[in-house]
Amino acid sequence: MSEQKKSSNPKTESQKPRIGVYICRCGGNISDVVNTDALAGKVKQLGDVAACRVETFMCSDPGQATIVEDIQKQNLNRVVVASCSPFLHELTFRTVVQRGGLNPFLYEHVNIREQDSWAHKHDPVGATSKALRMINAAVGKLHHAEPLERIRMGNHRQTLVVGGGIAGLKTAAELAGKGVPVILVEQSSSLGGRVALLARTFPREDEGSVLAKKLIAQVTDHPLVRIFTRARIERVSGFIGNFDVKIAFEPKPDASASSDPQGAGHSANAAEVYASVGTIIVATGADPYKPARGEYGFGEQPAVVSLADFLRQLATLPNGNFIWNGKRVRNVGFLHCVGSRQVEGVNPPQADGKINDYCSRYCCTAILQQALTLKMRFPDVNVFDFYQDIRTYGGHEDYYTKSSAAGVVFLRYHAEEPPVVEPGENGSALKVRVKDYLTFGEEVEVPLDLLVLGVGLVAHDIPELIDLLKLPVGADRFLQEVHPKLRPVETAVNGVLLAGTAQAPMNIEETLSAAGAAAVKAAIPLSRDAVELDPFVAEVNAEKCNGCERCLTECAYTGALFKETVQVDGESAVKARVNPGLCFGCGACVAVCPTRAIDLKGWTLDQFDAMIDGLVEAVPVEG
Amino acid sequence: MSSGNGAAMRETENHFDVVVVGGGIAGLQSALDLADQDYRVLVVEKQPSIGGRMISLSKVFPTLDCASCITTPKMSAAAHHSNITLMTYTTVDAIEPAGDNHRLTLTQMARYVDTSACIGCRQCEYVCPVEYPDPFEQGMGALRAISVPFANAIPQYAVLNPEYCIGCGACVRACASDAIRLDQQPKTLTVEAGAVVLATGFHLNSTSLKPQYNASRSKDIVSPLQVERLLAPHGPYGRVLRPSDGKIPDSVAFVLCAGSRDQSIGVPYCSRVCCMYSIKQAMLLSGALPTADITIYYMDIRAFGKGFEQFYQNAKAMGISFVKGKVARITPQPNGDLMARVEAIEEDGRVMENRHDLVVLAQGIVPELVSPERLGAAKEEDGFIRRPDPLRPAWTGREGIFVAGTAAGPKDIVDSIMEAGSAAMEASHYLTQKRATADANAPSLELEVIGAASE
Amino acid sequence: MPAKLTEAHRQALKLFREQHSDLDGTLKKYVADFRHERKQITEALRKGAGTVPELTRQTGLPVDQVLWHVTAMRKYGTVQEAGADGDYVKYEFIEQNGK
Repeated sequence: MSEQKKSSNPKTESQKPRIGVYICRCGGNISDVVNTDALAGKVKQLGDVAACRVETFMCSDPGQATIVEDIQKQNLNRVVVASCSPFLHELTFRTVVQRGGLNPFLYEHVNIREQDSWAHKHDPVGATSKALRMINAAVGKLHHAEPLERIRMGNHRQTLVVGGGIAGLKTAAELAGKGVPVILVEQSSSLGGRVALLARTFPREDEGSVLAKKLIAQVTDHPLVRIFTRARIERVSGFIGNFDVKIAFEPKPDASASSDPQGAGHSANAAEVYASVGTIIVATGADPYKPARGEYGFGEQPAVVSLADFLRQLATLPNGNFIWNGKRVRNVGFLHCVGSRQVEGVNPPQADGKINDYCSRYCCTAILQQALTLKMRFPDVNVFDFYQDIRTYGGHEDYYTKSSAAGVVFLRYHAEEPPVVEPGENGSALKVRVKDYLTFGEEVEVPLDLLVLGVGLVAHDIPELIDLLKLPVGADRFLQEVHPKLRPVETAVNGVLLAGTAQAPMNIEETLSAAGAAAVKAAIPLSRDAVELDPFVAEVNAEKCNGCERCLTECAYTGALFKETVQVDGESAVKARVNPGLCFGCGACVAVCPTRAIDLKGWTLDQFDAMIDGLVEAVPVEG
Repeated sequence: MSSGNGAAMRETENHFDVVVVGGGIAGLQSALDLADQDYRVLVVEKQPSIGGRMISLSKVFPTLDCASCITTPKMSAAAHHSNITLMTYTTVDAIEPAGDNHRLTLTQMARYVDTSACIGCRQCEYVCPVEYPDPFEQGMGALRAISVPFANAIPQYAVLNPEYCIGCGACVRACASDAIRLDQQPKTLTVEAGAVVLATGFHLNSTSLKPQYNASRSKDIVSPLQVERLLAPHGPYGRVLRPSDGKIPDSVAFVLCAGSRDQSIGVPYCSRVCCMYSIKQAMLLSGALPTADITIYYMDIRAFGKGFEQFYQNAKAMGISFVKGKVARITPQPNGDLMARVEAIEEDGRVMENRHDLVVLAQGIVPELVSPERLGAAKEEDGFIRRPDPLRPAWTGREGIFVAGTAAGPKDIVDSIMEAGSAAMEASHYLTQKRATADANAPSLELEVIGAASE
Repeated sequence: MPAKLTEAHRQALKLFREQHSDLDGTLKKYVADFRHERKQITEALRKGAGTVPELTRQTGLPVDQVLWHVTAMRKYGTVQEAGADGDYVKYEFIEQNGK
């Protein structure tokens, strides 16, 4: 982002408002419902509207150029764009207005898509009338708008990474390599996370612990990285550029901790660590789904194991006959979608009452990798694969092709009719009953000596961190990004980023890419000395303040509002004052002030009055 | 109207921190993530506009945002960024080591328009007498021999296609800013870069690869990119019509894996996005054609990304028909109908003959860049750019050369954007290490440890 | 008001024609067909609005070409939609004022 321009045209801005209103068709998303031409006709008649245009895509370059040109040629000093949600493009148009030479806060964004055309698809006349009212409110608000400057605050140019799995390690390695200091906090006593425990990984058949060790080597002993294991975030306050963090430690159980293969030597014994960081990366990972007792025989039948357990044991088995727990195994089954793609009313709900209706992404490939390995090492073993859809996407398809060629038998079940696992007969440990849709829905019984459950991934349980960082959580319990394409690793909390499987199921390669993406978004704000914050904070008019302190009681943000004693006409008086860096602009103080002495910049009480007037006074347009 | 280049390239400017090859969504995201860290970036795009494949899409899964709404702001941000220089209609012919840097040989193709004078007013286009099938509309619409490539193109400069220009001079007369240069010649130039990001993208393999689908015999056996344009708000027909005769279709079928998962056509891998875009197109079609029957013939529905499975379930609930089956043959009938012969695996294995107006073949994704060796990288057996280090997924294995997006394999937009960020991070990491000069202003680690700190 | 061509323009035009003379044969045929087809469709549309199959019957041109021309004319503002007839959209000609 380029340096903040000073409001370059104060003269124009202080003159009588000349407002430009730009209505976006959004390629039909808006204009299929709202009669944009009729709307523009009415808008032109509103007070102080000097220009009004309709464009197919206001956000496109030609659309933006129109605004810039009008500002310059028609001396506009205020701009309204009526288009999609401000969440998507408010910033886009503030930048456009700034490029035209105006203060970027002499801009109002009206959402006539999500709040109008999409909401009132079947009422074009009403939607058009509503759009006019909304624009009229914005025009009214702009009458009272003043140029604002973003708040510049100091910037602590280092990052906190929470989680020492491969996502956290990768972000730390990249940031340190770029010259950004990193504090890495890991809850357990060792680094490397789940990947360090994997005997084999796809698609390159690397050993997980080898991959993890290589990453660990990049960050340990790096002068810009400090690692704390057995550590947790106890307190966080502040905002981007200025997060104050307190790290606390689990007591060490005993001296044996130092024999830990990976964590040793870097777990400080410190009682407490305090740091100020500019950005925070959450890389807390995911856990394998733990089946409930009795779910597909898990926990009841010894011959039912999870994929991770199978993987670990298979790696240690000698060649020859396939011997599992002392017994020769001839028939092995793999079951897909355990804990994933669950269906309401078929799969029992999880502890929180919800089902896991998402796909866990990594498991199809992981299962077929193991099925293939098994077939290659023990060709006599019969392998049965119970699946819904084989999701070996991209080059992983190779595992599917090779498994089929190696003789793995596939049986396709429907989510509504999951396989039933029962004790076996005639020497088999188990019997799986399933309706196989590859043989036209025939009910099949498959005797098995071993059943491997292809368990999915579930979000790692981090309620304290979610609470501390105010992290948004999706319906699937994974952490939620702002927008999957516009801001895929950013959270609603500015400066707090997501890396890896804390956000969604991913495989190793995807996790590393996501970690790189998070690292770059953490590095960008730290590449300069200051951060800039939106100017929408409270401001006290000292003349009107009577020192009643009601606002101080109401303020929820420590340090944002304080009282000071000032001299007024030779007498000392108590007045409220705002620390703009700490104010979140929530408006609670404004609401309780009996003398209208407090206003939110950009959202003043006069502006609210004008907006309400604007909403009620507009004349409906013909549809 | 002024368009485009936040940082216009000066004649003397030939060194950049990073050159990004490809101005699609992956390239733009990499460029923005680097430029935001104050690196000087050159984006080289061979088409006359940046935006890549994504700008031609209608809406995108699984959020159903309009593709323009996501792409144009990124295009615009890159165009106006003070650290980014755009060169469009320019190919990268070679990348070679040059000391510590890379030397890139570029060819700026002749637009026949002086971009310093063109204001994108389209007067030339309005007077041009020749029209030809518009490549942006997958041939379905028309474009004039001189024209601005499409409505939200960046930059908004006209470009003349000499294959269709009759040299009548009408555009020269109509251009108020005297920007038409019929004597313009391609220009070769070299630039140096500290690092390179290859974001060269993909194209779809041919609908004719499987002769049993008879794509050459009917205009209504279409590519998914054609369907994107049919569904786009300003598509070639302004609505969904079948391309053979303009009929409003009442039965549309999607054939998945029509150009992937098949060793015999050289694409053994899965193209990763076809299931999802077909589901998306089916949903959008059922909105545009409320009475139409829409069928998806599939082998496995691969809805593996965040929110994808729910998207698939929603499509089923909307009444889109999912048939697990192999489409053995598509036969155009004399009346224009298309008969699909399908082995329905899920039912009783019987062979069905289904009539459709429009059949969409989910083609395979193949790399756009045929010889990565020319650009300093190597390729895998599947033709995509090789990335040898499992811990550095954006690195080509060649010093200072990185890769982002579908140049490294088929993937969806979200994954492309993630990789683009990752490539930008690896490139900035690399440049920092390469400079290896102690930056006096570089931050050092600051923290306060209270208690017995033993390390 | 269209500008007059300067000597430099004329030189450029000459060079352009020379450099692309290899395309002359195919391009001439393409443009001749294009103009002929466009003229036939315009004449048919001048008689009244019609669907693509109707215009095909009137002109004898290939049906996919008729669709391409009609929608191209729609893009450049000389044709607009005029309701539908069964499964087909009707198109009508827009008379240009002063042209």
